[in-house]
Amino acid sequence: MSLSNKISRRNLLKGLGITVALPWLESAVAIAAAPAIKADPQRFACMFIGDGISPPQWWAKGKGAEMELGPSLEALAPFKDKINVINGLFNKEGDGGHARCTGNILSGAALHRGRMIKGGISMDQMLAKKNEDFTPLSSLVLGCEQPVSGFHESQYSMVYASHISWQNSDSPIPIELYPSLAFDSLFGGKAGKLQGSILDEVLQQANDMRGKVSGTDKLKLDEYFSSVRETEQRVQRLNKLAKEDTPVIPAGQRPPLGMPKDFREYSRLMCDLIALAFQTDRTRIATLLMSRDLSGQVYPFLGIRDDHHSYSHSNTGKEYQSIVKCHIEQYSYLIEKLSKMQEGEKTVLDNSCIMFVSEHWNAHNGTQVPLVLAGSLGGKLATGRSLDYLNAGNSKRKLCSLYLSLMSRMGLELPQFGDANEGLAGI
Amino acid sequence: MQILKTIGFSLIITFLILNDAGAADPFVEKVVPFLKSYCVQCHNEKRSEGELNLVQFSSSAMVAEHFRQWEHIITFLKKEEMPPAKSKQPSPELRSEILSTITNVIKSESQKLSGDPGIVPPRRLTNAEFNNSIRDLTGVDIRPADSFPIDPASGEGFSNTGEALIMSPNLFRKYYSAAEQVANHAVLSTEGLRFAPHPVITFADRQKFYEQAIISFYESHSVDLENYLTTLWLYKHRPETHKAITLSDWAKKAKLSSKYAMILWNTLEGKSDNTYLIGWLQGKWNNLPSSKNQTTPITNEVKNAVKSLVAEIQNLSRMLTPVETPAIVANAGNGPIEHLQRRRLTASNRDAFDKSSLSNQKSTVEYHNVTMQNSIKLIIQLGDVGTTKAAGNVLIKAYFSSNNSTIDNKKKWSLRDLLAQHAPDTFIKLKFGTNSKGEKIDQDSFMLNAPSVLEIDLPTNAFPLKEKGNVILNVEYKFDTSMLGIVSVFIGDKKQPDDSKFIVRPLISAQHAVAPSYESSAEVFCKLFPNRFFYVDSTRGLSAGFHLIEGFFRDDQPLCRSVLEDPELLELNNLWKELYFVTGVWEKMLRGFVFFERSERNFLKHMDFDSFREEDPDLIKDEVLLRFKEVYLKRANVKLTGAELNQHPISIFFDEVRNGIRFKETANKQAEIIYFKNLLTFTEKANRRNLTDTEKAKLEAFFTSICNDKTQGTDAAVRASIIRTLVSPSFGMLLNTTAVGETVTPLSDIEMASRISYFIWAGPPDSELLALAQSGTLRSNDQLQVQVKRMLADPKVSRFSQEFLGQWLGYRDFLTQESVNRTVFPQFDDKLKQAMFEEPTNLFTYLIQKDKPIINLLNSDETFVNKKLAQHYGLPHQGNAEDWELVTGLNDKGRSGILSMAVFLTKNSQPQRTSPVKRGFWVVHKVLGEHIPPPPADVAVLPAKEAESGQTIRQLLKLHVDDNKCARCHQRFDSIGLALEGFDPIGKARTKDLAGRNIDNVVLLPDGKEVRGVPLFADHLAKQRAREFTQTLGNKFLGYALGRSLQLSDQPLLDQMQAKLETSDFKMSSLFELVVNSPQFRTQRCKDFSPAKFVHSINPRGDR
Repeated sequence: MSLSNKISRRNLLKGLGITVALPWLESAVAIAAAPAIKADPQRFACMFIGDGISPPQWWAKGKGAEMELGPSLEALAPFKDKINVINGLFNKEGDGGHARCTGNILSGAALHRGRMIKGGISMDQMLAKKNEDFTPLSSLVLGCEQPVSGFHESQYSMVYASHISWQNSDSPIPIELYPSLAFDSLFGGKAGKLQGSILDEVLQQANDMRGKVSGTDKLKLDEYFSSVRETEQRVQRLNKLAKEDTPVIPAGQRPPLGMPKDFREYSRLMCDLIALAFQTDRTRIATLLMSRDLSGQVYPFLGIRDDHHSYSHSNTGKEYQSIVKCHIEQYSYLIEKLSKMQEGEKTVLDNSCIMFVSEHWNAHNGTQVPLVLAGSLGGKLATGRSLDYLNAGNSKRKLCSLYLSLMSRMGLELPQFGDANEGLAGI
Repeated sequence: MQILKTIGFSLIITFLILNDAGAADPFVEKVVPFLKSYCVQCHNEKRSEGELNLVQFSSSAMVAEHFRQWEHIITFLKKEEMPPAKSKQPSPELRSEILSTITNVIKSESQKLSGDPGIVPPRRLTNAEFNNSIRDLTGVDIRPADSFPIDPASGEGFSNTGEALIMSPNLFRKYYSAAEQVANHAVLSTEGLRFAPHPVITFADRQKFYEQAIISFYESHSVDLENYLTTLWLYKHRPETHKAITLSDWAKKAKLSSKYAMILWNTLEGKSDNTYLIGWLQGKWNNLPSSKNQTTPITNEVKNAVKSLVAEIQNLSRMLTPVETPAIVANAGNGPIEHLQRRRLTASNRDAFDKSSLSNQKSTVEYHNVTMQNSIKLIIQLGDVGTTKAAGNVLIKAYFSSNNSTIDNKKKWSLRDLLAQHAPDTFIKLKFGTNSKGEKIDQDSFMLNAPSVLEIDLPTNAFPLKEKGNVILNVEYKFDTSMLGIVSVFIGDKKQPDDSKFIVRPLISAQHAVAPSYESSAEVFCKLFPNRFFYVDSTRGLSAGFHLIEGFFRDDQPLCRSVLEDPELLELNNLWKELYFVTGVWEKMLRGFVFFERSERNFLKHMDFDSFREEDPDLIKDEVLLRFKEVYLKRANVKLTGAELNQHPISIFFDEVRNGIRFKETANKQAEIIYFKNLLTFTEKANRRNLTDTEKAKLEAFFTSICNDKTQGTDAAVRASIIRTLVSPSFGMLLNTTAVGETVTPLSDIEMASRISYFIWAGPPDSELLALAQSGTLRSNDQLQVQVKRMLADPKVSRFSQEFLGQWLGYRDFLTQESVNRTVFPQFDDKLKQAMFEEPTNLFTYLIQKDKPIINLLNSDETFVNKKLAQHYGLPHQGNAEDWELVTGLNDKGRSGILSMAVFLTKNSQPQRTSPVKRGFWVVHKVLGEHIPPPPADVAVLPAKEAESGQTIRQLLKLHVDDNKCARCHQRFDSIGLALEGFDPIGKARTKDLAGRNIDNVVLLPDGKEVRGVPLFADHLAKQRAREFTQTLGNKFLGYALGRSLQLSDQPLLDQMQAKLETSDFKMSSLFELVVNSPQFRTQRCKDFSPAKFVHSINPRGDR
């Protein structure tokens, strides 16, 4: 079954949410049809909330349809059999104030104090590297909040507070804040346009050069140019999708320029992009920083005036509870979207693992990591469970052990990651 | 590939036709009947034993085509190993006749096309060549090809052959990523394009590059006063013979700033009637001990005197210059504008005299272990200042404090309270709270008339310390305003003898007649000795020190004013300029400022500021910034005008940001022209030739169009142009223009430049080679010899060593493959592995560069070791752990040349035992070039673990010799492998095997003699089998140089190489010279090459 059969018009429309109109679709299907997908790919996404959750409201009991969810997690009720609520995990290097626990939430690495930036490769990027040959984009690193700059008073750079995805130990991946640019990176646009013109230039050299050699020599040169041409054609196929200046595609089809002011609208646009990217197999890995550590995000629609971080100091208050709930609703939104995307007998959600996580348990305290997983990685991960590791002992409740297990189920076997050298028992 | 094969085939046809036309073929006449009688029973198309089918050969030309196989046949016939003993044997006469016929056939065939360059198709760079090319092109070692798949080998076993190096869409995608990776390392400074050792994309990366450069600059220009004073002292006491030398040269020789040395010298030695600080300083300087000994003038006495003088100077400097404000104020209340203003004040006054310290001073005295004594003494002396009599009324306020725990947790006691309680008489006498006129003053202060001495005893039980501890006396003092005063103040726990020291820091009323005189001396002093010459924060580097905002602050005025020479200052200014430019920090700081002032300080929450948003792209526009400044000044209630307004910190802040952003824009525009020039040079270097005008125009059009694209810009244009250059076949492929004609044609100068450099350096030609090529003079015989010599002396020749020797002897993949069991051999770690890998390359490079006999590879008593390898071998190592040192004495350790190098011993071992079979095979096959047919399928398997085997390896190998089928080959190398048994599976010397049995490393030589261990055996090889070794070397060398399989027509050149080696004492230089000069290296086949039209002696300098 080819992908073009799998994507129904309706699904694609849903995939793009309100921002898509029909003419775009033809090319979307054309491009999606081009690379054949073998087995259903496994995907991983992480959604992050800064400054912790509201502990009394954050709990789950029981399993499957009988699972009971704390008030913060209520929005997940329709997906009880698709999720795992994991309590009590511990990130050893992540127990500290601001700036020194967000940069390693996905790596478990010790962060360097002072002007030299040093962390560790995050697990999403390990997976991205493993999958880089299969998709046009190895990963999508998104954010709904500007990175904060400078230093924290603890002498840790605020770079750590705003980045969860790290491609190497020296530098995090810059967050894409503009939904429209993220769209372009998925479907051609700016980067693709540039790549297209570079390759075009190289191909132009072909005729000049072919004239100078002959016979067998020509074969070697042709081998080179046909490789360039193949790559160039791929890029062109991508570019067709995102050309803004083509008259048949009104500007409204891309997500609007700039960043939406309303947090819900903003995060939903980002979720739409992740869903669309997963569905069309543009990438298999995504992270979304909904709010950063020391977040300045505001939520006037919740009827509260101050910013995210200010409320986190009284995280049991109803203001902060509503903020956490709102984040979980975004998470639930993405889960729902993916659960409605059919992929053979399964859905994209079934073939994915969508993680929700925060660097703090309650404000400024990293003794345990609030974490929810959704999706079964194509049957590799049992779901519908509430698991509690809090009393398992520090060596048996490592966050990095969970990462080792998840990476292993996605075909990446590592002897060691962060502070862990074994998977998480019972996951 | 298909066409290649076809061409090869048509070649054979041509040979056949030629032969048919000529005389009778001796091969057909004599050899074919011989084969029929003695050989083809076993070696036919059905039963091709040893993978040999002799029926197929029907002419001399076919022998020529398969000459390699026939060389092996000759060997077997000569050694009488064939026909096998049990078969029918030819007479010795017939054997020798046939042998000479075959030899002659081969020889005469080889002459026909002697010097033919052969088919050398264009090829992409090998991975190693790719990395080296990027390295030479950018100056940094990015190694992008490390992520490419491993190159296949072909030809004579090397990867640099056209047939093997395939390009595919998948590989091209990797080429593209590699090009992007290189482009990410580009630093776009105001002065042009360069490359950093790390990516320069994110803010932190961009910052790292220049911040590190600036900090290194500061470190290398820091002022060590002890060093300066010592150097000046030495200058003062320099011997007569050095009298002519200038101070400036003297300082430079000591690697000091001559500028600062001069200022210092002029102050120390200059005439001055100043009695205060400068007078004191000169007195101290002149009182330093003088030189007693000409040979070692500097004594410990002098050193110590200098050291204590420096301590005094620094102490004074701290008291006389303004107090530093903290550079990092990391809390939400820290207003960025105020913070910058504080830092500006501190930075600009580091070498200024703080006038307030003249009439208002502080002093502390520490009392240690006070509980051990009954009482402590407090003495305040108010004395004369030099020749000026003491005068004035001094107001004194004092308190004690302690850092130790106390019974009542009180840590601070005013002197007033202490005296009232514990010395009531003194308390009354001092009249706290009133001055001499009886007026009220601060209630904790008292007044003393100068001159006077106050002596107070305090019982230590006044301080309720829990255990033993210290107390500190803190005193503040100033003049009462009733009369002008001048006085030297001494506060301590014992009386101070009258000392000129007081002169350095007297208390003086600002209006006192001598105040200006003191001030001027203090100004000179502070200028000379600032509290710091520059400030770099220990954790945050050059950061401005805001909370949650990015930004830099430059704090180095004394260094710039007093120490740096003009060129150095220019260099530093440039680094700072580039730091600002490359990071674009002004915009970053501005946006951070908006966030912080709104979210953390709430100042921007007022609706007047609603239009200034952190995320608004227009925020950096000039008119927006001007408006922002107006609104901010208004909200901050600043009501100044004119110059005063411009000097206000808010104005300064906004103006600086605005100027910074404008500077970035204009500099960017100006730099575009430079970048384009850089890109032209870059592309010409990458293409290894000059660009044509059309190519230049195309590059320009490409670059300009991206620059002008609003969604892209300059940065993207430069990076895209770099990628464009690096993914072009002009960079990634080595290809020569094919000439028309039917014979061969010389390579052009430009083509020759690449050919020679990818041969000797495994990398691109340098500027000298390219310049010679462009001027058309590279190809002359003399010039080629000059260049070979020059290139062999260059360190880059080690790349040849690694590529050539590494592939010949099979260790190039050692780092990526591993058969060692690290649990059994824990000492085998990555460092040792790396060291093993580098050893043969280092020795080979050394032999090439010193032009030593290459035969030494076999029996050298010297090698190169770093610390790690030296420990592994038990050899000495003196220097830094990472340094490679030449050591001799290998033989004493039972080692010799390459035979006992750990890399080969390890590679040719099993995980848990040695493998004499693999080791012996390696020596015989790789090093000596013997042809060994593949083993039959039904071979016995040896135990995997030495430790668990019941027999020694020698006993096990006996089986090989007992079985005739095995013995034919194994007797040729098993015993050689046993000579290496004195080394365990990771090449460490041993006397017992892993099961604890004694090692027997005796080898039986063909002449029946026995030798024990490697050195004797290696000597045997070097003496008796040198020819086999050098022939193998020659074959491999030529195959690598030409990048193709050898063909029979190469034989005359190979013979010449052999002769040259033997007459030149085995110098590698002779091989390089010969091969580079050979027609096969300097020519290529024309488009319609035909052997019949081949012209033998073509002048490589011929038509271009």
